[in-house]
Amino acid sequence: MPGQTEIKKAGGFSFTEILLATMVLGLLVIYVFTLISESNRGTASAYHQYLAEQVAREPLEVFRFLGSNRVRESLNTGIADYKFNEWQKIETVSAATGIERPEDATAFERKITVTPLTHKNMEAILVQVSVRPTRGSVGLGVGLDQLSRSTIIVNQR
Amino acid sequence: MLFVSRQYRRQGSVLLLAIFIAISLTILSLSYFRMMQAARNTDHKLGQQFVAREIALMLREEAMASIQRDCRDRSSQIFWFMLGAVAGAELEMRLPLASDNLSRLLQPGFSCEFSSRLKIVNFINYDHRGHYYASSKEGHGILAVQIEVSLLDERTGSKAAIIKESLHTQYDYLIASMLSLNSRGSSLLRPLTLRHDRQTFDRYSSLQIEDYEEFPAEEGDPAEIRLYDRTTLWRRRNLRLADLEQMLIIDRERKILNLYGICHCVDSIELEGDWQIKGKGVIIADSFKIAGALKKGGDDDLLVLYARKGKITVDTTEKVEAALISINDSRSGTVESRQALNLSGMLLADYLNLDNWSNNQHRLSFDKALLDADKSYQISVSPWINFRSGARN
Repeated sequence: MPGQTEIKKAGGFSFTEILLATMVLGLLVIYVFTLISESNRGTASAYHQYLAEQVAREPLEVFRFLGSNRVRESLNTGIADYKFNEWQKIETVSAATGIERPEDATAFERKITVTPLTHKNMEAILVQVSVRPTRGSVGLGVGLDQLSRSTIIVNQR
Repeated sequence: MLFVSRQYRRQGSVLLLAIFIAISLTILSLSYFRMMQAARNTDHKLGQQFVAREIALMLREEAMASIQRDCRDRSSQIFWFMLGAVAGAELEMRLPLASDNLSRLLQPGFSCEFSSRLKIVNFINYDHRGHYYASSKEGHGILAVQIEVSLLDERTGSKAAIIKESLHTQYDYLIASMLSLNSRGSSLLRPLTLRHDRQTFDRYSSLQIEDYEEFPAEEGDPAEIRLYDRTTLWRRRNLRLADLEQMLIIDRERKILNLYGICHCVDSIELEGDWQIKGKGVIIADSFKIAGALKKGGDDDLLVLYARKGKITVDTTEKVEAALISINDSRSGTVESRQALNLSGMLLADYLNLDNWSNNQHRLSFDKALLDADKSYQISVSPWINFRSGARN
């Protein structure tokens, strides 16, 4: 009899062992799913960050190309469809400039501020661009605070 | 005893397994936490990299604006650095606009250190055929602007450089005299020179030249005179009149001639009304018609009008402060005045036919600014170019 008991015990697992194994397996599964979920969220967040960066950099690049004189001349009117000192929704295609943007960029809005600077004989402009997710946007831009990028463009005579 | 001991052994293995799994999970959690932290740091670092890049671009723009301004200013350090500099020479540039406004681009807790250096990469004083220019100061070269930016993180109390950005840009530049130098210095030494005409002018002539005899005689045969023939020193070539107007070299709205270096135009140029001369420069065109005053803004300003195909016609009694040159290969270059001429400068032509001039007393005085070779150098740095719209600004 003692010999038989020994054979049975060696051939299987106890209830405690199975319970523990299930628990460990469950923990592992939860961990893996959390990992995947967090990874997806991280990827989405990085994508939103990237989009917001692009939306912020676009007017800086355009204004640098145009030069500070051209921007100074348009302080009250704005340039093409870049309006100053107001929050503007982002369109997928700019009617005035033809610049194309990803569909997801419409989840953001942008504010451009231009401040003239003068130092002795030198003239420049400070361009500040803020980007934030539009109110009510679901998914895109969620968790992203306002992003600001600025530059100074010096007049080349 | 055997059963009990085996039971203990089995319990021990489960405990070991649990500890092993717990350790594995901890390691995995820690690694995941580190991974997420690294990803966040990368995002943050990319943002700071952008800030550093924008600062570097701004510094370069200010450096370029300073160079363009100072290379026209004989009292500036940059002018004298570039005039006669040899390859390898370096100059530390001060950029006050950037120093005052950099903080506007930085996020709280960050500071920035930068340096901006001007470097002569090379300078050659001979043309594309290997012919040396008359002056060793004349020539062309490559100028480099080197910008270094370091972003410092001060949030932890100590300054640690987190981003370093370098921007190295090169520009072409040339140094040319506005007086077409020769071995004696200025080529425009006499108030009047005729290349293919030997007529004399005395007090009975209708053209009166002040102190004509006091000036040095021409060296060699006047027929051999060649002026501004080193085309590699021309700042701009083959421009249309509209280009000169668009670049505001001829500012018709404000009636100002903004001169800077030797500009060549393939059209005839007509200057009506009274004009102000600003800067030093030579305008080379097919022909000229002057119908109004040309007045220098300052004593150092200098204007040379050089007609290469047609003639120069002056149709005004107002003072014309310019050197008038009308010479060409067919020896037909001439100057005509339809009213009493009042020229302060010099006159060089292939011939003069005073019968074609108006029946007035004409006056020509020499401008001593045409003697000063040292003050005649102009430094041109290549403009900011992009290939979609031509010259920037």
